[in-house]
Amino acid sequence: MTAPLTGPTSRKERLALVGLALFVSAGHIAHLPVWLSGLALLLFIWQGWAHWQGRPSPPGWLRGGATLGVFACVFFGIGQLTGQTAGVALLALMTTLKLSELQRQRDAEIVLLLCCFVLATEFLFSQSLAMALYLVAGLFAIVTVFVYVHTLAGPARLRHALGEAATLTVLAIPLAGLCFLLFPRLPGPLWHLGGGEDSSAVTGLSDRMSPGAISQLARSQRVALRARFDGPAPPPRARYWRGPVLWDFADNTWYNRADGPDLAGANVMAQGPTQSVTITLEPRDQPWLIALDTPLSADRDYRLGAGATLIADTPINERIRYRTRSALQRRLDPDLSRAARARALALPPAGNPRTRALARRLAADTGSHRALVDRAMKWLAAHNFVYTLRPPQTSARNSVDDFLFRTRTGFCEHYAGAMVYLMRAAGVPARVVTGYLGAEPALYGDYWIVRDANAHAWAEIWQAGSGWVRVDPTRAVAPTRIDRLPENSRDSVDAGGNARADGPLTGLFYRGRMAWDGMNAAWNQWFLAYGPALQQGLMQRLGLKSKGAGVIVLTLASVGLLALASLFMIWRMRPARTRDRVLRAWQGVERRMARIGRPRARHEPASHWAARVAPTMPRNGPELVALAAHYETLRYDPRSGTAERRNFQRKARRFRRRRL
Amino acid sequence: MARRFVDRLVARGAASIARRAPQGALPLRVSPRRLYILPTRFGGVFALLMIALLVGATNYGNNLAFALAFWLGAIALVSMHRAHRNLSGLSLADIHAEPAHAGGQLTWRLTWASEARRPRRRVAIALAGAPPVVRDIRTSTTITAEHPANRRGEQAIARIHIESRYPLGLFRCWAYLVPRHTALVYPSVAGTTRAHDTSHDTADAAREHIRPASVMPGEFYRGHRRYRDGDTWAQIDWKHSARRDHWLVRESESPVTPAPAVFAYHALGDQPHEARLSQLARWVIEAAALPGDYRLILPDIDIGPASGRAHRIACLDALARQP
Repeated sequence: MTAPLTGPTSRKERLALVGLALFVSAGHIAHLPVWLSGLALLLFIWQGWAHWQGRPSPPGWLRGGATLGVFACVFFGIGQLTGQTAGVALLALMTTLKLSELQRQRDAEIVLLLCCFVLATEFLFSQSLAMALYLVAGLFAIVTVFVYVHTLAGPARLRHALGEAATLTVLAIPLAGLCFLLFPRLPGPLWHLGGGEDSSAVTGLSDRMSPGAISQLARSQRVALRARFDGPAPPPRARYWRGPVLWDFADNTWYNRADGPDLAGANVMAQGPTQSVTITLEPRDQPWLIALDTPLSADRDYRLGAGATLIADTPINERIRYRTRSALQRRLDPDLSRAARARALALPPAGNPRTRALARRLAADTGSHRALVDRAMKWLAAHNFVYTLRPPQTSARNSVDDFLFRTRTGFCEHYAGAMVYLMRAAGVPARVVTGYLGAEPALYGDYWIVRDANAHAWAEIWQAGSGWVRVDPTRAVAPTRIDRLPENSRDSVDAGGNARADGPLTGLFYRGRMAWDGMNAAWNQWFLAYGPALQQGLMQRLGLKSKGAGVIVLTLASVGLLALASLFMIWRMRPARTRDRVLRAWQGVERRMARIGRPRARHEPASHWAARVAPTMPRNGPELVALAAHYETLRYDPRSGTAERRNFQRKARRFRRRRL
Repeated sequence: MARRFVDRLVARGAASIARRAPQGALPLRVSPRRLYILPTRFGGVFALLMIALLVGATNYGNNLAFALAFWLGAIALVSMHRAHRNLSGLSLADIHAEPAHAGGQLTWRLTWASEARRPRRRVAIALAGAPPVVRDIRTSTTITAEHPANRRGEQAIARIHIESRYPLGLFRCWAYLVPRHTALVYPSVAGTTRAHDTSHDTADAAREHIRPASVMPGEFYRGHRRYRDGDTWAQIDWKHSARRDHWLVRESESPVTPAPAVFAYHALGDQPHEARLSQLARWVIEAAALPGDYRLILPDIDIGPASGRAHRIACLDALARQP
């Protein structure tokens, strides 16, 4: 009996499906090429119009041709048919094409399934809080249309579908939440889709630093990481976040040679109290675990690189959370290996002659490395250097000379690079450290925000006895950049740390942005970062050591929940209990009798029944007859009073408890 | 081998379901324990989609995709309960069927009662082997379902199949009811139109056959009718009354009225039993459409002469109930 259940769809149903498909694929407009989005929109308009007019479905050759056309468009537009963007484009366009064929209920069901899938693919591109709201809305819309196409036409059909969808959606939340928390999570990707564009990570700090690289990054207000300090936050001048360390210089670029010597991991010795920081890192597809300078350890798999940077095993392409311990005062590599020293002194054989000459002059009559650094910093401070996010171009050949003696305008990477070059030329082991400087306290929530705008580069020189020491030449030029950083993130981006815009409107804007960030931070911390590691933590907190136990608990919990739901339904369906106590007492007697195989037939009056069954029960028969007579009296004699009713109830109770 | 095993298992399951179907007198309630639920094919595809979503979510470590998959899955499970709730507690309050002729369609009017305030949505109701009627069932809803009337006589109502895929179409929830209820199937209408001569002869023959001796002189015996208060004892036909649970009274009329048509079973002696009944049914129907009385004589009963709707029904009933 399936014929009418798979009958033709109505016009309203078709329009509802078109609307749903449009709604769930709307989010893709943001990341599909414009003209593909336009094509999809055209198809939607065509379908909406056709169903509105009640046109028949286009002929097969037209649908087939349109399918081929869509494949061709995607192939020529994106250049391939595999990969994430192409796959999503094909899925969205095929769904819209399927809308041209909605005659039967089966077609409607296929479109519903496709809509679920299209909605899921939206999250490949973004998992922000806004997308979460989109998920809820999209899910609700899908369930509504599900119900809509499975009900009959009638008044208030849509309202009923909305109500039923709301009920279903809300009732499903506990079970869905439990599954979310307890479903065994597997780490890492199971496979990679080709195309190399399948990561939502965006570029951040890289392992190359050419002039302009960091200033480019610093123009972005994107969040790089969020940090929560145990105890009070460190003072502003100690808020250096350590990223990759660059050892080698060639072609105006600081980088790490692929064939560089295999240096041992850094040796960090804390010289005072340590600071614990919990960091939620945005994915940047790089292996570095950014930490407060200088990290000692973290609670994930990592190795400590030669530059005292925490390095994960694989590039980080999803948001992660980890806890680090850092030493604000430390001794770093007091003994420098021969290979490391050689690498920290290496310079290209030629180039930047004026810088080399300056180095020789500064080093001529200074004894210690420290004194040399001081003289260099003084030299920078004395020569009217300008600190700006938009530095002018320097020549390709002698970029350091060009910067130090001609433009004298640059961002931190120019200063750090020049300082390291100068130190190496003077015979002092030195290296470039990149990372972030400063942090902004969140207005709502106990955490700090570090943005790409905080990207920074500084130098480290090696000194016998104390090891690697941080030297930040930016301080010599723009001290405010270092000391007043907590505030200056509020400034307009390219003010270089000087100009501050204040006013009621900016204040409001600032508060709004902070509130949004607070919600996002909570979202990231509690929802998006939930994965295998946090799940294991949760299991351990619940007292479950292994995954097997987790699976068992999940199974039991879901079975238990379903059982509870079933019991609740059964309870809801119980027959209504009458408020008449006499009737209830009598029904009890009937139930008791039914259990011993003497049920009353529906049509039988009480006394007839009692008279019928009494002969089969020699001991209790007479009492049953008396009880039935009493019951009928109470039913039909208006004079019976409360005492009489009580008396009957007592007798009925006694009868029920008796052995029959 | 495996196929046969599965088939046998399915057959056994179906038999066990059929055996347990609630049966008996009305009202007949769809008990929660006699409701069956299985995923539809759409539900199966939906489950595959959920698995695909979960694999994808695991692959990308995408928590929103996880959330979507789990939420959709949980909604599907909840919908199973809602599907069950949609049918559970529904009861068949009343059945009524207008008689039909064998070979035609019996129209069953099934009145459903629902104690719940919510309507039961999109319930498909079918009598075994017939196409279903799909309807929302409110507090009291009558549904007409057609079912072929196969054989003359009392026909028990076929097993009722009620099914619903509400709310999401992912699950098929169904139940069977076997009410104890019958409808009358008249003989099929067949044979020849009554020729005037034949009928006259037949009427004469019949009159000869059953004419009692005690008819008053000057009157023509007209037929039997049910005893009414005021009839005299002399008028009661004791011999024929003995075969019934009520008395029959001989009716007489004056000879001036035209002779009523008489259709007698015995006059069709050369035909098989069913063919004779069909022929008589045809004559009765034709005669009922014309003015004038008619009389039906069967081996165990003699009805009429009379006219009108009640008489026609009495005649057809008697034909239907022939052994």
